[in-house]
Amino acid sequence: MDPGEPLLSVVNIVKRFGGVTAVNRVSFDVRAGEVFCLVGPNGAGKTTTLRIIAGLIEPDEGYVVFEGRRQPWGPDVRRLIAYIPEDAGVYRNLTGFEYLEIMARLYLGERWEDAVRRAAEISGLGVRLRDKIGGYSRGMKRRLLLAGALMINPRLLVLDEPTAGLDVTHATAMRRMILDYVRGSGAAAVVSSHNMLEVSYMCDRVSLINRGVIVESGHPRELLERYRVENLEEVFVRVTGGGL
Amino acid sequence: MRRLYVLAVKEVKELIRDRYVLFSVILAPLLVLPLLLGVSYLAVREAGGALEKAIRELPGNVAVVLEDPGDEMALEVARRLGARVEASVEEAIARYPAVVVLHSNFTKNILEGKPATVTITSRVERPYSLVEVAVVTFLAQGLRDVVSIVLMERFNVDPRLIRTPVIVESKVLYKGELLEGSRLAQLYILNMGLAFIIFILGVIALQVGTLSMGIERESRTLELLLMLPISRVELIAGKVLGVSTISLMGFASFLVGLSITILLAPVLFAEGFEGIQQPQTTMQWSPIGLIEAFRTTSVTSVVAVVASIAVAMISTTIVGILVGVLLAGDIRGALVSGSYVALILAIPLMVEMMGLSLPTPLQIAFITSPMYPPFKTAQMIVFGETGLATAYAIATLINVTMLLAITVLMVKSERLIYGIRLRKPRVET
Ligand SMILES: Nc1ncnc2c1ncn2[C@@H]1O[C@H](COP(=O)(O)OP(=O)(O)OP(=O)(O)O)[C@@H](O)[C@H]1O
Ligand SMILES: [Mg+2]
Repeated sequence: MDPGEPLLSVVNIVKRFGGVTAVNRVSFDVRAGEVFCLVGPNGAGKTTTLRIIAGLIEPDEGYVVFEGRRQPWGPDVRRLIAYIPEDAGVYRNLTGFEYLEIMARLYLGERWEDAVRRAAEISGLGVRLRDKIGGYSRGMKRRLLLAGALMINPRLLVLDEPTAGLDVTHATAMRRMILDYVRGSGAAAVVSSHNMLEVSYMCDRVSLINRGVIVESGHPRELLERYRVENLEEVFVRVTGGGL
Repeated sequence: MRRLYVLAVKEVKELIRDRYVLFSVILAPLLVLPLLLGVSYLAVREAGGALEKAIRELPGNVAVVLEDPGDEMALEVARRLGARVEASVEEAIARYPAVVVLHSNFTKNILEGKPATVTITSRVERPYSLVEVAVVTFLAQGLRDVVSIVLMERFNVDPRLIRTPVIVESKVLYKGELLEGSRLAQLYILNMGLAFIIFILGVIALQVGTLSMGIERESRTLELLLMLPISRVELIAGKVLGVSTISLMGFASFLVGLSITILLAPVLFAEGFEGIQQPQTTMQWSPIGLIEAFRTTSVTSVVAVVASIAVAMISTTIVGILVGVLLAGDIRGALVSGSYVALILAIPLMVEMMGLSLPTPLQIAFITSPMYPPFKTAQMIVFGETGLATAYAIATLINVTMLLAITVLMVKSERLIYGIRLRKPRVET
């Protein structure tokens, strides 16, 4: 594949729920090795967009292309995508190890053992992996989910507010893991966030979304310069006119 | 007071607007009993009608064969039965639905206090229905009564002095084959036992199926499941396999409970109930009878019975998953709605357990129940009704395929994953 060619293209997607237009003509491309961030206030349409990308929701208009293939995708394409929903749950009665093993076997077949070993390491959960997931703290659950997602060597990571509810240390570690993976593997990541600090730290490109519409896009630094402001929050306030 | 009111209103609003609560608390209780009553009424009415007709037509329709044509009491009994005297059973059974053979030494035996023997041979068309079996029972009872009357009126003997005036053996002509009555009883027990097994296993499978979806919902793992690199059919097949394992464990534990009950009951009730007589019938349902019935049945029938249990369990599990997707917001909701749906879908099996058959329109309606067509298929195979068995087998196949297709579609539906409500479009401000 041409390196300039996008790995993922979201083209003019529209999604309405009853009278609410959750996503309104949203388009963007994500290239290999790139972290793309979708930033916006509550109810802006981030989750809906990511669900459409993951293929769990069908857009009313527009389409999504991944590695040259349009939705709907079969198991062969889903194998390449790791999606962690914003309020992703866990099987409470499985142990961390059991969860990783099940996922590895389903995604990787024969080559699962190495992957589980790698994931165990990434998760940093150590012996706690032998405990039932039901007893994990929120941060431990997120780390397990992320380790499980990276373990399958996805070409596309779709992460809905991956660091929400985590403390600074955990959040930083998690961002590090995502970045390392994307840079190392040449995969693409679509990440949603409220957190502007997070965005400037890990995003190669960012789109600001408000009321379902993308109102501004660019590299974080580029945006700061364009609006002559100190941080992205101010960009956002400027773009939306302060009213969310 | 005011605060209490506010709290109560909150409770009512929150509960009543929940689709799951609406089904399990309002709709299901409304439906279950009237449905059960309605179906039972129709089944009983049909059975009652058929029984009445059969009994009404019986007198002129019974032939009597006298082994000793000169036996005085035998002749009198035949006369009072209103039956025609024929020469041989083989000839008579072609023309009459039932033939009574009064064996030799009829008068002599009775007057000497030994029972006289009678054989009733009847033609049956649907031995899986209690109606035709009831006719035989009715005939046997009628015969005993007539003998009592004859004893009293003609011989001036108080029939109560004779403990057992007649022993009735019954034989059944079914599909050109003469079966012992006990054989029919065994098939019958197999039939009811199968209905019972499928009923219990079906209820368990449906509950576990709903429960497994309730768990996915409550622990928010549905999206994880749907993202897996496997097809939807595989996903459901995997679920069915896992759920079935648990259902079988549940069924095994039910069987253990049943065994304990059976072993314990005679001990606890060793004295019996005073004043309550044990019904004397070979048609009694018992697990030992069931095992005996299994042992004496053809390999084909046993295979059919086992296969029908497996198919019923699988398709009921699929329904459970479907009900879970539609009606289970969480684990508790899953349990409640699973129980109700299981109860509703098991209604035709309850009717079969009573020894009745559904009227044809209801049979067609309940073809959609996951437990009923597999049961009927096996029942028809056990009773040698090849044509009907094929029809029910096809119905089963269509049923399972449709269920699977609907479930696959439902599982994919975003409205069900995310519980999207379609409200009237609001004008955005
Ligand atoms: N299942 C649904 N049914 C009805 N409306 C929905 C549904 N999902 C989302 N919406 C509506 O779509 C809009 C966008 O929601 P979305 O969850 O995508 O926002 P978000 O940007 O992820 O917000 P947050 O930051 O709070 O997670 C909202 O107005 C929401 O009410
Ligand atoms: Mg969201």
